[in-house]
Amino acid sequence: MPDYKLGGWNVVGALARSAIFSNVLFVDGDYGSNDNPGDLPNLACASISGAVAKAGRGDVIYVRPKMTAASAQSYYLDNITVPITLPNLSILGCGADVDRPYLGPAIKTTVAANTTPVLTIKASSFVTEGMEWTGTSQTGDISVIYLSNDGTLAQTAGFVARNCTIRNVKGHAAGTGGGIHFETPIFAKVQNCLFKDNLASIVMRSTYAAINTILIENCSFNGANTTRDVDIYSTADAGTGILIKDCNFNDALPNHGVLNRFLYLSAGISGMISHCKFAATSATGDTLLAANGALGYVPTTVFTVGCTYESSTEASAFITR
Amino acid sequence: MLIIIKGKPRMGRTRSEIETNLRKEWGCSRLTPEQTDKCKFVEKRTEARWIDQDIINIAHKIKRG
Repeated sequence: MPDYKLGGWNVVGALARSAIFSNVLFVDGDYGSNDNPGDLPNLACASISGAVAKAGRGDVIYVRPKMTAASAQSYYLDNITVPITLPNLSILGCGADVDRPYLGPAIKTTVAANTTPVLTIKASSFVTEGMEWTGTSQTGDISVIYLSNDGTLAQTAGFVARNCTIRNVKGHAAGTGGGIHFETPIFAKVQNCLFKDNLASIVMRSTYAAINTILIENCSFNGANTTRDVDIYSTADAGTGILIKDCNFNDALPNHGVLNRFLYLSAGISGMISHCKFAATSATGDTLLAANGALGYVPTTVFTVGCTYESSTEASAFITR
Repeated sequence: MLIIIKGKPRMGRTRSEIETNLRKEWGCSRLTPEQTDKCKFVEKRTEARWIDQDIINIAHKIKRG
């Protein structure tokens, strides 16, 4: 087989995925049944958890949007756990169009008290694309996507969320809340995702080990500022390789009442915030992202490069430490 | 007795085949038709059965080494 290269690198991602891709399962909330084998669209499972129960390592689960509700969007009601025995699992939403995420498959918890994450992941290399993972707007110490990582019973290295919408998650960052909650992010990617009205959108801890490489790229953090407390939050006491790149922090500075920042990154981690835009007005770019920054708490070990805001006086509007 | 029938799976062996057939069955799939064409392009050149979307989106940058 010839080598195919991308900027000098072999396209190892494609080839590696080809080696581990095994079976395909289908979920159709309108016409499926969990008694079906799930291996064909017309014999689809009714729920994602039903498909996960039938899945093996490296399987891909396609999810059809539910369309039978009278409203514009109807939800799957489900709680899913991906056990450590199912690495390389993918859950892919089949939206009417990938550029119209509102019409993609949306999923909420079945638990009225909102005490269980919609998706709990314990396996490595999990991928989700084109899904809407939704909270119920209820308060509580809860996340929607929870990534366990104790190094023994749960190892969630290699998580990827791409083209997903994650919204209405009201679990607070200080506990186990957050749109995506990492116990310890290791080689994780969050790309092209839309976050809306979350008290905390992405939460990172270092419960098992130090943070080891996370890329948050091309994401948009939206919602009324009173519904948001912090968009990206870290309590990790150590970690390297945090890259927050080309993200938009929209609407206004979060103002729910506790942290009230776009970013709150703990001391002890290192990385870079690159070419992000912040919906905030200031007369000066000084110390907007700094140890006690007005827009974000950012330690000096996390560099801020090319980040901008709305300047009321300066032409450049670049944030400087 | 378990009878194993060898042959092409109905939905296809590669991601582009699965996505194309899924659009026929459901009227929707994960990739747009344009992305599916790019996926097929990368599959032919890499002999991979599954191409991640981030590779598909930069298919035009993939060159023979």
